Amino acid sequence: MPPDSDGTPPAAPAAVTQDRGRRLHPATPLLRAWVLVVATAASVFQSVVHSDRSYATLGLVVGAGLVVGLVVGFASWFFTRYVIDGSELRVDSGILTKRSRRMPYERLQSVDIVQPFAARMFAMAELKIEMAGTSEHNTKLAFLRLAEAERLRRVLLERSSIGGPRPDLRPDPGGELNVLYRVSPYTLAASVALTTEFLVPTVLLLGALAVGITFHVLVEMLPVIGPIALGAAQVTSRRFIREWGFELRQTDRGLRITRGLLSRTTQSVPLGRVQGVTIAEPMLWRPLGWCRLEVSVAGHARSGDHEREADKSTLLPVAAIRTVGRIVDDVIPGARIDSLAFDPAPRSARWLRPIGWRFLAVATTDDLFVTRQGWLMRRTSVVPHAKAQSVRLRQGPLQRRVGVATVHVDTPPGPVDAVAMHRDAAQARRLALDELDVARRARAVHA
Amino acid sequence: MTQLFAPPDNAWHGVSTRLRALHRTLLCAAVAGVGVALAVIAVVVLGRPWVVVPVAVAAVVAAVWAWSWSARSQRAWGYAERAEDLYIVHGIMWRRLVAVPYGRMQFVDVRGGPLERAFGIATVKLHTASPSTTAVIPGLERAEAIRLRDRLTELGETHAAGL
Repeated sequence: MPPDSDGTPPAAPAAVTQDRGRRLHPATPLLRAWVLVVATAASVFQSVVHSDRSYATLGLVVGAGLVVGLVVGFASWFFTRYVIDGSELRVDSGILTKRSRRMPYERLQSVDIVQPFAARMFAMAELKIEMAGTSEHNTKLAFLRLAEAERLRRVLLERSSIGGPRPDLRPDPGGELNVLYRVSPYTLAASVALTTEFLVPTVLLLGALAVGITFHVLVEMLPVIGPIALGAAQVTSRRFIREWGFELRQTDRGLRITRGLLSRTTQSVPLGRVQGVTIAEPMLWRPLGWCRLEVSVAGHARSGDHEREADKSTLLPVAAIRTVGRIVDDVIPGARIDSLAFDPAPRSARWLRPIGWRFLAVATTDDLFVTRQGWLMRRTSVVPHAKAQSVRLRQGPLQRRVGVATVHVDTPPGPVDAVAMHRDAAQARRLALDELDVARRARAVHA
Repeated sequence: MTQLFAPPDNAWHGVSTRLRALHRTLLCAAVAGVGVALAVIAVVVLGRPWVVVPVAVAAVVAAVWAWSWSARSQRAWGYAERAEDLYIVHGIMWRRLVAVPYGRMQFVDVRGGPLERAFGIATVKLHTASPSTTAVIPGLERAEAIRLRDRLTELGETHAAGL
């Protein structure tokens, strides 16, 4: 890598691309167009095997598209270069319109490695770099050799302020990748099978099949059965594909997640920026003592895509509650969530939540504000006092009738929503005002 | 209930009565607009002039309600600048209190639409890193809005805490 520390003005990126920086892997255009490559090959194969002219025509059309795509892809590859210098990562790209993007290391939010299926077969990877701000500021370096992508990530993480070394975390001296938890395929399968998203369509499906077979109207039932089966399959396979082989590792800069069946994603969780965690326990998992751990991280770009955000904030897709407690202790030192003393909502809350009121609870410790709610899906939200942004107290007309009020402790966007619903009015006020005091002191300690 | 949203130390700082005037103008204009439209429809399209009478009665009732709602709503707004945080209270039926520590403020907005400017008032909005923080104070006289903004910005800088 050539040293590059002189401040070349961004006005002349074209001149810079000529002699500085590295190109991505030359196979990039092929990997980007792999669908077309496969389609062309298949058409040619079919036309040869069946000596069928229509396949040949199809092959010609797809092949023409492929050629155009490859030419554009090759040109784009040719003009794309990246440079790592003393203070920033620079990516120059563009065929006609030249772009030169400079990313100062201290502004990096996250550096993740994504391996789409096609790239994975050839040990190639994409480096996804997020900057402070929105998803518009995402930069993708695709494709690199996996080893090169890993090296780049290490360099970027070392120079960025992400996470920062934590003296209390002791990774293995030899390998930085100390596996904390690995989700087995059986656990994942069982956990997916025990969700309402899977069970409800399955029961409906079995019912429809039973009706169809009993009354010999299976064919007429197909318009009903088909969509149900498709929906169930989609939800289930999505979780399987995304969360297959989920591994949580400890590194010297926080935790690192690797997941995915077809495309593998490696993502770091900078512990210093964790704003809170949520433990979700679906009703059917509770007898097994399983739960899911989600985490809010400051600065995770809001992509506007709920599923991707959910993927990104999942720290453990399914694990025993004891494991989750241990990981929470890593994420929020001294959390000790298994020893929390929950204070349930008053009986008067039953007028507002006939079933759910029994599951409303709140707990506060020296370090944490913890709320719990939900019957079908019990969610326990844990917010360190030091991370509280603001405190809200509200009361609607019905709540006023029964003398209760709701307290919110606001945190940056993420899965965590710490809301203590339907507390006795006097207690709600005390809870809110105390939280402000404790949060102030906690901030002073952390500052 | 009054206890629940009582001011933290002595009293809430109210917002300008010009907010009341602004709401009255807006709501009465809306009522008048809808009333006239209905009356025109009744006379021209339906050809039943007597419908104008209930429409007029309804419009008057709505205007009276809007008149008193504007006053109650304006009185319900309040804020208190404390040593470490800003408290804001509002709402008549759905009463809300939000407390924002100065150290958590990311930035402060002052907005004034054409109507607000005509009434000489502005809205101050506080932003934290959390989108669910709804800290808005409408109906501040312009000088007060600017004073509050400058004061909050200054306090935010002295108390600033990292995420």
